[in-house]
Amino acid sequence: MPKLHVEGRYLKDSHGHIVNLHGFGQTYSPWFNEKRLINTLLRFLFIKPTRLGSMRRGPNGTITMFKVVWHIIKDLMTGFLMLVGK
Amino acid sequence: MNFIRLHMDPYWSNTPGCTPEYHEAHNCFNEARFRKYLDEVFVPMADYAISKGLYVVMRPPGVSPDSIKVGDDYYQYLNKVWGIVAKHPNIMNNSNIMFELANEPINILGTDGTYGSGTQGHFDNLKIYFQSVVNTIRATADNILWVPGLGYQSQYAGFATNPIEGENIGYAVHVYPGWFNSGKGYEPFQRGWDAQVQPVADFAPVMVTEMDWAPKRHDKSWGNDITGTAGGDGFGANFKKITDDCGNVSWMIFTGPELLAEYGNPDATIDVIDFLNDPEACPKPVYQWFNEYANEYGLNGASADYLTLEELIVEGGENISVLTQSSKGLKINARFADGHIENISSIANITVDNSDVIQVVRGRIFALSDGTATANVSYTDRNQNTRQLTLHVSSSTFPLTSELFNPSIWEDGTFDESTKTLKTGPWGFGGWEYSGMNLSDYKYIVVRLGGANTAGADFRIFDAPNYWGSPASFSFGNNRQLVVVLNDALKNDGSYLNPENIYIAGFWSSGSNPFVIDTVFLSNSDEYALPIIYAENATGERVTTLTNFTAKKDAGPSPSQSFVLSGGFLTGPIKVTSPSSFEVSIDTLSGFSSGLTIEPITGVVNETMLFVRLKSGLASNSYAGNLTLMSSGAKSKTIALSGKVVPPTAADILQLAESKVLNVNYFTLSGQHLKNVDGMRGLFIRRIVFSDGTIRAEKIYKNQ
Repeated sequence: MPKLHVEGRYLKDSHGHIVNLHGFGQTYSPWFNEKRLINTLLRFLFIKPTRLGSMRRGPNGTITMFKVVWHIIKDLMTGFLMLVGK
Repeated sequence: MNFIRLHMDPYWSNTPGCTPEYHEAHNCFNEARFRKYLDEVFVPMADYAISKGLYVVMRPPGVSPDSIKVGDDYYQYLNKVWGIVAKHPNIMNNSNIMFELANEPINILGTDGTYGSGTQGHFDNLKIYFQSVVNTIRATADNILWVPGLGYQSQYAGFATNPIEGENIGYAVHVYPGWFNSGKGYEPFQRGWDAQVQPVADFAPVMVTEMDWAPKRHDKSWGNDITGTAGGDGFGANFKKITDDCGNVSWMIFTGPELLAEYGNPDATIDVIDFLNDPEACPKPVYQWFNEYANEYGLNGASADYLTLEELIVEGGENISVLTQSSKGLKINARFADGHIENISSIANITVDNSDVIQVVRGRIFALSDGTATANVSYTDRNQNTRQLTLHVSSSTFPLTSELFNPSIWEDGTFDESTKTLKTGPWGFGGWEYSGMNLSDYKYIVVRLGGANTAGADFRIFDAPNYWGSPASFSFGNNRQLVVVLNDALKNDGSYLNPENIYIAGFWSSGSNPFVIDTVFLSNSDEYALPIIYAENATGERVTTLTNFTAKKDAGPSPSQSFVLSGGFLTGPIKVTSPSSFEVSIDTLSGFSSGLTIEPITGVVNETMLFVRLKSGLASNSYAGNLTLMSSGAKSKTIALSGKVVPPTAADILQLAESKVLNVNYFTLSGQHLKNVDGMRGLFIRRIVFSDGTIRAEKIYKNQ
């Protein structure tokens, strides 16, 4: 991607062209946004909440769970990006 | 779609089990945990987004507390977080990763010692607050930074005067239905944007890092409104129009991605499909707009014509009118060979010939005093093509221009700039609005009509930001000119106008007919002076009351009180008239009478101390009245006098009228306060308080 910089009142790319970015926010994970998406994610995984809790409490559970979550994040972001043409 | 806002969610930095003091508070921040998951969560996420062609805007964990101050623990927290992030090898100087310095600051301790968000003093401290964070980041990294404003990221105007310093700085804004006067049609929304965001958008890029809308029935958005139509009703289409017209606004949709990911999915739940397919909810139009933006430009380079400057054009013309003691963003547009326009005001080289009248900083004119100035503008493109132009700037407290004169401050009126003709609404008011204009350096406002006063017009000034407050009102009478003496302007409620804080000035009229305003201007020239009388105390403050004159019945006049009389531009003597129960003199002990006549010398009465007292021989009672100061052509002054005559105390009553004082001795008394002396023997002092306020002290002797 071109390197962006601020030039006067504009964000510009390295070619000198004005750039106005357009995007989205938040993160598609139960461990973001105060876990308000957790039910959606659990449905996606077919995991019962009690099972999730035991995974997080177990030895090395956080890392294990992180890997699971990270794949989910990647998958869902990929799906979303495909939908918006990326 | 070309960027994502990445919240470094506090789940990944808070000590597990710790309870935040408020929603997403920073008190549970655990530096070791944050460093660990910066490596393991946020950096991989950013890398992944970048791999998909998305720039990343990182946001610190959590939200700002309700009130912040320079040096507080949140200030320390932000410096710590950004110090860590800016040193991370995958993030430092990564041009694809930007930082939004904080989320939704609300109030800050201002320079006046109050918490708030609305004054320049609050922004002056906010600049210090975030300049510190910027400096921390700049110690290692040159990433683009987006600085938040106050009021949940809705207030920015103070940054126009005191911006964050450095390179690669923009401002991060939140916009929701109802904010910036949105939800009431296009015009109020645009005015709200112009008041708070445009002042920074004039010299720096803006990124909207939270925004969404949808009809409330969906219950799937932070903001509730409809898309509507650009220039008409609704929020969404007007948001796009305003940000597109502004020209330097990046923005994002804050709707949950778990909903956005269902876009086009026929198996999604009915309510989600309804939400995503509703043209009045944000996902559907935003999807279309993002595709249009992507087709306009895809980060694929700039043509030679795009970079070749052809001419400079001043939006609104090269004759510019500015309200004194205000600022105004310039719009100097550079037109390039491909036809596109860039506002280069903030980076053009601008020199001013009269810096006492205006200064131009970052493309913004700061009008310092009434007058005119010339500004020479020069801009050079990447290929060293230079173009120049000249601006003629008029700074006025009372500009008679359509842009700056509001004919509808109360009721809908009209103003024709070419003929300077005002027609107010019925019993309406038109004029100028200020944010606390200081006129104390001036003696006079001169107001001239350009024709007959056929609408009963008068001129009014307000020292409070409220049309329904009490103004100082001035009638034209049979004249076409009136002069306001600023340090002697009495308001309708009887108090004096404070010329240090003027918020509204203008013309009230019945609205029955239009009338022409010739000119309104400030002056210190004594050619506009009117005969004037001053009544002040020894420290120069106005004296309008003298109270608590007290005399004992049949014991002569009261002690006197004094004030300082003076006058200027007089055409006759000052006549001092006291109310019937009082008397006045120029001497503290003698010469008291019910009135004085003081002659000016060449129109001037120098400071003269006058003494006022209650007359002798009055019955026990309360007395009040106005002492008046009058001179031909001058506004009369009154001083409200009040006092009382009280009955004599026992010590004043002599046994024999012809008794003479033979000897006087003084003693000290010491003893204790007794509730009663029943059963006691000795010499006592008895103090008796009567219901009319009289106090009698007497000695008593008890020997049994």
